[in-house]
Amino acid sequence: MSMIISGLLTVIVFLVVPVLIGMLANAFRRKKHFSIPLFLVSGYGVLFAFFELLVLPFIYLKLSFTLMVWIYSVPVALLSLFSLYLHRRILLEKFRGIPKFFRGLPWCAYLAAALILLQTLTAAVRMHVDDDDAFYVATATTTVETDTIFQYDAYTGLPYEELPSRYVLSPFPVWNAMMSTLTGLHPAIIAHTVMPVFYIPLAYAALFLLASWLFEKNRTNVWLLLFFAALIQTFSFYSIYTGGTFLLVRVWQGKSFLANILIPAIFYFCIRTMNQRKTERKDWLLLAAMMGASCMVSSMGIMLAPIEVGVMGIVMYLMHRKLHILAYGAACCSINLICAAVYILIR
Amino acid sequence: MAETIRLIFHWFTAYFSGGLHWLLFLASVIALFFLREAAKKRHILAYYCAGILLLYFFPLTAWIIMKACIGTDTYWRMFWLIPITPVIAYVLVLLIRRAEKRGIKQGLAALICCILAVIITGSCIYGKGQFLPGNRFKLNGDMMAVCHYLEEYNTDEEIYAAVPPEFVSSIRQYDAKIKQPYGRYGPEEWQPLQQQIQYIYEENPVDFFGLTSACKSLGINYIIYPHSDEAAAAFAADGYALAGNVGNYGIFHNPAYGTEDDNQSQEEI
Repeated sequence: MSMIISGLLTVIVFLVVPVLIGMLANAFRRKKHFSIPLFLVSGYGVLFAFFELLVLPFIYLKLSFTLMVWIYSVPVALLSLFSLYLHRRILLEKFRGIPKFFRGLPWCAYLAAALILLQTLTAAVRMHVDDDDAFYVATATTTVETDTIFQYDAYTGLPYEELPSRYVLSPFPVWNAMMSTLTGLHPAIIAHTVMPVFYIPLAYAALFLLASWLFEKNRTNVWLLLFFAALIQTFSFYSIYTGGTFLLVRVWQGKSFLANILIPAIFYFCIRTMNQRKTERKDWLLLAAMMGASCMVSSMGIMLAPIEVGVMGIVMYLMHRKLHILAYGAACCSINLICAAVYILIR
Repeated sequence: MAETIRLIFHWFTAYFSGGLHWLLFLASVIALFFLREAAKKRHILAYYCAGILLLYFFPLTAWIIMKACIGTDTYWRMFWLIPITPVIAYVLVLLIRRAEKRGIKQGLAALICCILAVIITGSCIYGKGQFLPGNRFKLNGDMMAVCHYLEEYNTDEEIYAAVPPEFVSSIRQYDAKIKQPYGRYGPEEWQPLQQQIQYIYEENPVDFFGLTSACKSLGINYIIYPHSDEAAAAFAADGYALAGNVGNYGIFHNPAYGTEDDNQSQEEI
């Protein structure tokens, strides 16, 4: 019985809540567009950015983990319920349209879905030993065990003499600890089994957004692109460094989330935000949220994401000749710049 | 600057040399400039890729990124910024659709050729370093059994344990109540006593006295060690009595150590 409840809670916190938050984040745009991949990816961006902003003061003030979970979860739960209420009609309508949706899928959608499902199941069922988990997963178990955040060394369990500057600005393991607390599952199960089940399809959701931009309404092409993307990832073990290797072998680590989900998502949101005649200010906010999320998942995200936005900003500026693209793009990177400054101060 | 240039090519080789996907990618980027479909989108993709590649290969920007942003050892992560997978996939789809316009057979042939191209130029991820787990935690089963034994055996003491090298990275992933004198990284970052413990675990013949004396100095109350009569006798003679055997491992306990006060006093020393 407890496993069923844990399973249900897992689906709610890993899937339902991000979709509802993503719907809310996209609700007030002029151009309305119902897309579950869009809601899922934007939902995670907003949730992670909020998590980053909340957890950092908790770390420095040495407040308890339980208090953090409450302060984070209550507003997120309320916003999710509000989103559910706001979108109840369209959700019901789309729910009724599911059989029609499946009937209308092109042949290559089944190919792509089969390959992605195979990747997800393999990651869920098989195991890979990775020594980096000695920090990432052990930080989550230490957080749950001690009810503190980054107060004890994950490697030894002894109190930190000084904060681990490389990791402290990117509390992705604390997210794992929070998911463990909310679902009642051990952090090692969350990392090694639950996260691959949700994050591998999430990576393809981010690519789906890019494919939808590239091919617009040609669904056959969109799904064919996804099929090839899945195939390329499967055959990307030509080195241990590739995004595909990180996705299919250790997606529960923040750097993998960055490489496979956030970097493609930021690419998409840059295009959506910068490549339009009339700028929607809310889109810039969503891009800023993605940048916050990039800081949350990995210290590498603090640096890599602004490089991505910078290059994309210059490309878009050269195409549109609008200075505000560069100005707003730089403003979106402000959280990364603050984190970078703090990192330099504490290292 | 010569060192920066060397690193640029070193990481390029390290990232791509096991396969030929980089050739597919390069061909795809070139194709982006010459295909007819969706000019604006193609140009965004192509210019962005060119921009990142320029940043990567231009020595000055490479030096700045290495020194001030992401570090020398992780410079290869710049390749994560390049949408290699979507760009290759996009161009392959365009080629297949173009072939399909000439006929179904041509389309099918193009599809098969593209699939083969991806497979032949890459390396499959499966069957390499992945295996079926023995438990749902996907952790070392022997280590978990030791943790369960300690949980039942130990009632009120804080557990501070010296563990074999194969447990060091995983034991605190499973049970964060257990403390250990050192973690994954080392031994150059550790204090001499921690180094001594780690070296003794890996040496043969084993200096049991050296191990117990280092453990006592650190206030360690449990030693987990591959079981043998010789080890049991040596540890018992020095205060660490056999508490039990779990699989191939013996659990040795010294109740004189391991309270919180003891550990604190040892840290002060």
